Amino acid sequence: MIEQYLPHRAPILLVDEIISCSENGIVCGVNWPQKTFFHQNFHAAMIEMIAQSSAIMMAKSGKGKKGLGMLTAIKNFTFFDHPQQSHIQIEVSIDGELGQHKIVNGIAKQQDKVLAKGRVFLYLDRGETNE
Amino acid sequence: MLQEDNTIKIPQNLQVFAGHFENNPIVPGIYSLELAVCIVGRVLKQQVTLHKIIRCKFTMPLVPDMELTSKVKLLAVENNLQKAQVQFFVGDTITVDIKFVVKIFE
Repeated sequence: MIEQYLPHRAPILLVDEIISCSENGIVCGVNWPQKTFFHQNFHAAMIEMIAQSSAIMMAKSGKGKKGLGMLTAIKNFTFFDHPQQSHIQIEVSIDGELGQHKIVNGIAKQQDKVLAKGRVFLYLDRGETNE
Repeated sequence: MLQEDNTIKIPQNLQVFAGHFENNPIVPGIYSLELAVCIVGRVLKQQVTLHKIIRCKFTMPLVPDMELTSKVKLLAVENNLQKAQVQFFVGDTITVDIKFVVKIFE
């Protein structure tokens, strides 16, 4: 259950499944046709998918605590294509740390087509949840 | 949320607050991006879509009833790509600072 790693709930909970996960990377799946709330704002949705996938990865590596991964910055994030009505795959890897911030590279893909890619910065407060 | 004079008033009943977060409503950072793109479209009086985020910094959570002002700088334009900087303020305090490129639909 994704909800055990994230405080997000519908309509903004975008990630549906964890495909694979390691300490420094995660691959998640999003069932895009179901995310109708974001179909008009798909650019923002792809950033949020990468941020949520990153927060899941960090929560999993924090011994199961549900941390609040707050998006604090975005850099060099480029959009290449619109999502089609199928599954989106999110690939995320940690690129570094800056204090309590994690620097994360993310890619949103459909099949082998890259929809968007860029870098996000997340602040993780492991001691807090939003519930 | 976005007023005619490009100020922003965060309503109490945004639909997204149901999931971001229950009993602790915070406007998702990505909403600020969408607002910034809308404002640039208004300033240009053209339809635009987000093409690239050069950098974006969120320095303060946005919560219900907060009132923001915006400042827009149009930067370089090349073909149908407009570079711009949008900043949101609460009083004198900057909350969001975004430099990005939008694609203009003529």
